[in-house]
Amino acid sequence: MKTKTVILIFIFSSLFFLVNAQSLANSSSKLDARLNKEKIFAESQRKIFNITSWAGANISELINKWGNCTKKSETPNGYTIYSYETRYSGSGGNYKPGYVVTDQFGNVLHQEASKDNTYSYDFTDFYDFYVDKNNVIIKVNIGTR
Amino acid sequence: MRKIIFIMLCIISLQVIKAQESYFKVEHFGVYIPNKSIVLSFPNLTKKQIETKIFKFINDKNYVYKPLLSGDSRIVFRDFSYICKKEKCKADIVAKNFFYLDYGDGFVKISFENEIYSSIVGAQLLINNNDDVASENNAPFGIYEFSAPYKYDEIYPESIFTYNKASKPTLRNPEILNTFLEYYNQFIIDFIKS
Repeated sequence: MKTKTVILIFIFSSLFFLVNAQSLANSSSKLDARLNKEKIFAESQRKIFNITSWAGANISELINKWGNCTKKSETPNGYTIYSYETRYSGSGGNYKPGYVVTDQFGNVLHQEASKDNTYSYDFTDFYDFYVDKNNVIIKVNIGTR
Repeated sequence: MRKIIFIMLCIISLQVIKAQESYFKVEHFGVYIPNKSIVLSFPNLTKKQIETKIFKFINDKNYVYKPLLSGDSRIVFRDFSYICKKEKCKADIVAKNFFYLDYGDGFVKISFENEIYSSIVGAQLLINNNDDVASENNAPFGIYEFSAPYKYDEIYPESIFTYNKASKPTLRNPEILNTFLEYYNQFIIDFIKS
């Protein structure tokens, strides 16, 4: 009887530790998940930050480093936009026409539908630098159009 | 009995008055101004004097004037500051705020936009002249969650709300909520006093 009680206590305490350990492991993996997500966020923010940190600099410094812009325009309130654009376009994939095989009586023996895996893309990555009358970059916009 | 009812009524009305004092409201989706804008009246000031008052306020508080967003009757400034630190709010909570001040003779209408960040690992956040935010050594940080994602309560200790089983937001950190309100109300109080 005494041995049985000891065994039961042992089993219950082991279960308790197991549940507790499981809960801690879950908590730890959730925390890892949060930190991992926030690490990725921090790195993506950094990429933007490094480019947009040109704000405050003189436009000539940027031109010296990046070369001439691809487009220049004016805003109605008197700012000049220096745009650096890179266009990406292309197409790929293939088209397989469908077919029907019939016998001499017109019975369909085999048929295949056409398969169209073709694709095309055309987009432009841009960096727009808004420059004031003193040639200072006051705003940087990054995006795709 | 009447005395108890009277005291209770007094407590309730005091709380109502206290709640009405706030210019801002915090809910599970964010912090906002209930009527979208706060209109402050300065009957003795002309438009020019109000403009001077706004620029003095921006300079005194070291806020960043945003000329590109400003116009003839609008001045915009940006602030980037701690709402609360880890010791008090379980995470460092930092706000990037844009205040839009539309003004004319005798009044200022204030509206705002914000983005709030939090870090449980003490990330030092930086902001550049383009108002973009990064962290030193890319330490983990993220957009502040007003409501902890369902089943993730324990790893978002700084969230003001949590979701119950019926997906209803439930207040769990009233002290952090008050910190938010105090932080935002201070902008308005400081401006009135400036």
